[in-house]
Amino acid sequence: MSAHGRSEALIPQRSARRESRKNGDVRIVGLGSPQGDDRAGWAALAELAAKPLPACLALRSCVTPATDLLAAMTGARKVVLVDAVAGDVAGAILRGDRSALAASRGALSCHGVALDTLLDLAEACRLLPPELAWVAVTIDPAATVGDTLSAPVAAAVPALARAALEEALR
Amino acid sequence: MTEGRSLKINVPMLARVEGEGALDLEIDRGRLAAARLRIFEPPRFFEKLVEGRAAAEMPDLVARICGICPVAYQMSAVHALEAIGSVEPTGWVREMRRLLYCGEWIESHCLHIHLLAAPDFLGFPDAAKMARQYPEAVRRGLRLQHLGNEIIALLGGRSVHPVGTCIGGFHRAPPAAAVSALRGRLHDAVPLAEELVRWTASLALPHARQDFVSVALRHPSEYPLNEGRIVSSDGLDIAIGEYADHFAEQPVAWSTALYSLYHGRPYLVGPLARLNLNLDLLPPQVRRNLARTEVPMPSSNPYHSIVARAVEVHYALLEALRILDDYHLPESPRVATKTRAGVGYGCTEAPRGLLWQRWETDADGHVVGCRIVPPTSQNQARIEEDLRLSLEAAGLDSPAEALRSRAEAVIRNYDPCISCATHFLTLRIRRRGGPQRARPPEALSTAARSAEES
Repeated sequence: MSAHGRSEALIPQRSARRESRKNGDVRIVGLGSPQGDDRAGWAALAELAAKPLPACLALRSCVTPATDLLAAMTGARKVVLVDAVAGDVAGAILRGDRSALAASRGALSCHGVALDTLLDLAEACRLLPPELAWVAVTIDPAATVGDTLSAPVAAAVPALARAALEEALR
Repeated sequence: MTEGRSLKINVPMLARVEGEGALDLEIDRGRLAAARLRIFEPPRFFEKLVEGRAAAEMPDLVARICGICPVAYQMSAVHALEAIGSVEPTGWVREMRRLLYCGEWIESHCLHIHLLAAPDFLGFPDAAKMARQYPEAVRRGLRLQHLGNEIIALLGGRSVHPVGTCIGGFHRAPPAAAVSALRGRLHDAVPLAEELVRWTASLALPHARQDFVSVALRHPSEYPLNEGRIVSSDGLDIAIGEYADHFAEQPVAWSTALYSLYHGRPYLVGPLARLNLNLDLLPPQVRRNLARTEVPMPSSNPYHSIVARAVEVHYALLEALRILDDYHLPESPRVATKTRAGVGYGCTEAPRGLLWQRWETDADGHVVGCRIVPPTSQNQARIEEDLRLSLEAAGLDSPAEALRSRAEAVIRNYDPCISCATHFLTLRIRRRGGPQRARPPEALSTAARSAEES
């Protein structure tokens, strides 16, 4: 069963609302850089791109802080951010909303500009979507070199992708 | 002169930011005895890492030195490595490299203006708080910055650590449809760039007149990006290969970064220096828009750098449109290269100023050595000089927190790579001699938060 089918079975009462959504109304935005495990968000997006997705759902990947993220969110009704976050044990899946982002100030970073700072900026510029959620995989900060994911993070990518899809369709 | 307090301020190295900044101040009986700035220099380690690697790898590797100006490092490197092999890129490659650089100038300058510098001049602690009162200005800046990123991605494959550049040209030519779509968006943004110049000129910028030497590239017929001779406001005019005859790096006891001095003294590189030396090469449309402001150029006021950046955003947007108006698919996006033993020089204008590189390869095309002199380290002595002048003007008996804030604003005005956070500077002040007397801090910005958004 695809992740999409499983999500619908979990939240059947919301299927009517999903049908009324416009194309691209909900976006999953993968944050990352080319450096090692920092590309986990992109890997999750690639996982999702290989599956059939509802028309209301659009995938975006962001490379830079600030503008690319804000441009990716503009006009969406709901955005799910997918990223990597430093953690004690690599490969754990975390979820949260905007308040959780504020609480984790400093742990989630868009390459030198904290994610919650970017979202503060988006809110101030009235670019923040009405609904915002985030999912992340924990990584070892030292594993941000090279062009490939470490073993524990690579193993967690399918779960990260599923979490992102579940949040998007919730 | 009244007897002031004396104290010494010492600052440890900072973390948490892209780069590290530290500042030591010694105030002796009301006078600034010493101001020592320490900036961490990533390229210094890089110079050893590349030894023994193939020259062909360098465009991708040097792009990772800096996430804000990867194109600058790529451009200086490929020009140097092509010089070794006597590689002559085509006119198409030359134009595309200018286009790529335009994207980086737009992206970098807009990030600096809106997220880093403007809050200082409008009296806000950060861009998010500033954006609550100036949402239109920040949205405009973010839109322009995004266009800069789009230009980089068009040629580089992505806007951070772009991978499209190679020795001899580019790995691929952008498709005409993508060029056409981007061209339309750039065209629509021209009024925004014009407004940006006027907005920065309307900020309550401090009045200052400092005596400094401007250094930049100068080209016979175009505003400099990738090519030109190195010139200065005191008459220097040299080929880029002669850089080391006039600019010397030297170690200082308080910093891990080397200091660059021009004939033994500080000098300025960056947008204000470029504008001071190349004003006549700006297109008439850009000069007319600047002339409508009350900001005189050339300028000896370091705080006019923010206006110079806005002017360069306007220029870069028009230059990008000029290049894209004439876009055509080439026979090949690159020329053949050859390996050879030798030494080559590359000097291009990074957003923050002159980026000079010297590369040496062996007969097999492997790197024997390189030397990279980034603009931030070239400005380090000038920044210290400015700190001295600015802090004395602000009043050295101000509370330490006020001095730290003022120092950060002075440093941030130079757009060094360390200024990615609002409070990046750990400041230690040691004061000795004289009575202790604190006075209210003098605000950098005289514009109240109730100022109307223009």
